[in-house]
Amino acid sequence: MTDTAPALRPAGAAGPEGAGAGAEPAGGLWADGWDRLRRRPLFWAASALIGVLLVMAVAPSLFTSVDPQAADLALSGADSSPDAIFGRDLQGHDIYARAIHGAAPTLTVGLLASLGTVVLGSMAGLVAGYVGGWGDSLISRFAEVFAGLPFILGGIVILTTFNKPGQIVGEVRIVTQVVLTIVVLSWPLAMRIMRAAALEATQQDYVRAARALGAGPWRIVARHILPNTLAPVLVFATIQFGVFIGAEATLSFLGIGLRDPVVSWGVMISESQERVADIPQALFFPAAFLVVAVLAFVMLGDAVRDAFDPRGR
Amino acid sequence: MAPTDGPAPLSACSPDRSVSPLLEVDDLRVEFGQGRDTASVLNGVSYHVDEGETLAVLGESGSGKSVTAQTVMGILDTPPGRITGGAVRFRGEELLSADPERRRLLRGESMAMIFQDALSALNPVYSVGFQIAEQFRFRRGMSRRDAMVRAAEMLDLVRIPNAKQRVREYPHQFSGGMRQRAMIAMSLALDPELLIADEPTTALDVTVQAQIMELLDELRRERGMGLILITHDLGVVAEVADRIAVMYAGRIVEHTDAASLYAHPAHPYTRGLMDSVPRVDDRGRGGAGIPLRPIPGLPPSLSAIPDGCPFHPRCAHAQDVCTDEVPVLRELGDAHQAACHFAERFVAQGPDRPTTHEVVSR
Repeated sequence: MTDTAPALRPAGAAGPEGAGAGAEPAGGLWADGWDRLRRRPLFWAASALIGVLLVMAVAPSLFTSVDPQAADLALSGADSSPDAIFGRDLQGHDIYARAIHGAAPTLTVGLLASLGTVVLGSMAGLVAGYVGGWGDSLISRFAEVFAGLPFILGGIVILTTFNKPGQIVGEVRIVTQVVLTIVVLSWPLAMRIMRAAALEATQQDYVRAARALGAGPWRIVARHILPNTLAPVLVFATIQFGVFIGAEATLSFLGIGLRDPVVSWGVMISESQERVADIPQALFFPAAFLVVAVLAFVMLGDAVRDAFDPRGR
Repeated sequence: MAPTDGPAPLSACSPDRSVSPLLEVDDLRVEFGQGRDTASVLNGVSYHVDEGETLAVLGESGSGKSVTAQTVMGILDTPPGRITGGAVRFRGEELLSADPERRRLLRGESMAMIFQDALSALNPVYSVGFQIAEQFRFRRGMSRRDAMVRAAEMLDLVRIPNAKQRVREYPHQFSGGMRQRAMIAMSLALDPELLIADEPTTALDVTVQAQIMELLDELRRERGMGLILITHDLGVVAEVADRIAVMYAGRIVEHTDAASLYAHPAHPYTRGLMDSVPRVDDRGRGGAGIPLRPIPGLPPSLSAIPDGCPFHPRCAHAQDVCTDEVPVLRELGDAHQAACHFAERFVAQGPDRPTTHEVVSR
């Protein structure tokens, strides 16, 4: 609907009756948001960075042909050279190659964790906000149990329960575990945002009007409440993407998250800790990648929020 | 309605009626809240509407006009609301005890409602046409394209110029009057037999108010539907209402046809409402105008409605009997009912200012 609307509107349709639309291109909530979004340099800068990171994750061979697992102990801690421009770590790995290959697991965890948090949290929040009463109380109290757990403590408890420290586990299994841990500990945030938005939308006259015209509860939730509550949750998800990348690095650093043979930036930072003074490049480069990635997603989230948050208008 | 319908004291609202009216509200009682904070919002409201007829429900904010309408539609939020008694009958079919799915199917199809603030009553994320078309698609099984064509026809019906183009626009691109027209188009899409308009013109400026009222009146006549017009504005109802029910503190205090209400207001509250309308012919001395004459005081708190007549603390004519005895809504003859101990006296007096009707309806 939204995207076809401007094309079908004749020039000057705003006319005398066109209440305040003025020169602004005016479509639905989403079209308006997109219009504002694409005029922001911040959005394009963040998008460009994220684009590069995504290419890095999907096709690391475009950036490097070196095997990230290839280790040459003779070159342990070597400074940068034409061979390995960022130098080599304690095991003699090429830091540049590992940093490039580290993008995929890091972004996978960030993406899946954001997706899981938003889907689980939104559904719970939507039900809580729409049903209200004891259903709302039940879901809210249940969410508070998880929100009350400190993230690091919760992460340590969950991940050490599943894996002995130092145990070698498969790539898929550990990625799944880390993602689920983050989702379980973070969904209450998304739930609260969705619940607040749903509570507000449920009180709106258009929901009442839809009921007065005989819309059933499913149609009201799907067509009237959800589209009006999605914007704040999407903004949250974009910002959380960056936060979750950091969370993955934290868990990896503690030795309970992703681990060898998976290469992520967090894993690299974790491995560098024993000889930071001697081999600073092993800490610096993955940390720099991490900071840039987190910054890019938080910047994108900021731009999206400014464009879609109704209070900013 | 069958005459054996029990001891309902107020069923006199529909005397000697052999066919059931389009809508009949009978001794409806609604409360909000719990325990000591219980607010009695409706204390036995009865009215009826026939096909092709306009009933105006008049009253201040908090008198229970909208709650009655929401209860009739079945969209009252429960909790906090609680229906404690009474009946709502649509073509003789009792609704309050009916299956929720049956009620849902009646909404839109047989009865529809429009709201005060049309901007907030239209969903901001969909185009106006899409929202109208939704009903054709899901209640009539039309294709998306056919439904949009019908939606444009509906906009045309409510006299929105350029309907074919405007059907693609969003609610915020419409002006206030256009939004209310779109809202009317939406509620009439499935051709309901009863339309409840809850303060449809309150958010609009005066010239647009008149246009919307005219439109509603025309549509009612064309389609022969019953119209319940909820308002606090005497000027709005003067021209279009067939009958007027005046509500105060969750009760009907006066009920009669529009002409006799203006000619012989029987309840001091009704008289107060008429007096409080500012008038262009109130010159006073030296053309400086005279002060407005509001009804003194505030409507009673619904959790502590005064004993006796609920209006007595604000009534200039209150006597001892008014604080002791609740006046029942009683027949004054000629289908005129009022709930005042001294109604006959007021009817005989006529209005305080004889020209009110002409001025108001101008």
